Amino acid sequence: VPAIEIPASHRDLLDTQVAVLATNGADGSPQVTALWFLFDDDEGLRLSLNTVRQKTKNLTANGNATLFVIDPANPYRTLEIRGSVEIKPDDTYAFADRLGSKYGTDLRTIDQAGESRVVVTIRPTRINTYG
Amino acid sequence: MELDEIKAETTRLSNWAHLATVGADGNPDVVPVWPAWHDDKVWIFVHADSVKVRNIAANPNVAMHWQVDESGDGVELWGTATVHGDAETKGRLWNGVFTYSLDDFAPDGPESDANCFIAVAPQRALALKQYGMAGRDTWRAA
Repeated sequence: VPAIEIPASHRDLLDTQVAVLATNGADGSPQVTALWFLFDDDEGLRLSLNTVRQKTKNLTANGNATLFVIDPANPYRTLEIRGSVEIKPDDTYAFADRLGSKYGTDLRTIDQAGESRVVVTIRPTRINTYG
Repeated sequence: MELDEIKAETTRLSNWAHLATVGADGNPDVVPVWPAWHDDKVWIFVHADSVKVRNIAANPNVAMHWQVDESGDGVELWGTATVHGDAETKGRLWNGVFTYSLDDFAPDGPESDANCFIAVAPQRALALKQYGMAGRDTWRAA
């Protein structure tokens, strides 16, 4: 199955700093939250999530998610990426460090002792653009 | 934290919020909306044939997130949604509740069946400072 391409017309929105991620919980209730992300052409769209967070639990229960980005300069111009997720452990913080460097933050300083992180890769199944 | 504080924080953060609903396929849908608080509920003006209206008819559980500011402050909210297309509700909300003119988006006015309102009765909210790194406060309905 060929990879779904991000349309060139809205590719710049993946240069923004913050996206929102919508997930569904095991009880059928959605969650939507702002988060940091990393996108590159080789690895695609990836997130670093602390395993104690609700969104991580939701993705474990239901591996489908929607990532949404609004153009900060024009809220009527948006990029919606719907997809399934692949979750892998990041016990060494190898990916968390890459993501943290984008934002000038050491993600270890955010996490509590004993907590761990995973790398979540979003595999797009549908992309919608507006504006 | 009190609901009035959640209202004030959402108003401070942004006119815009994201609304997440659950699709018929069990997957999340998220769209940007421009809501307004009224009678301790969040109201959203929508097209009656929109995906979010269909989703809410099947599953009334929704979540919202007010767009973060530059510091990363934000508000997440969970609630139960209902859809209102009746004349009384439209007459009550059409003028003076939203911070934009509904007529600009619905020139046929409140009499048209093409538009309606979503009301979200909040059950729980979370106010985050700097993405939660600088603290978080919660509110729950009694």
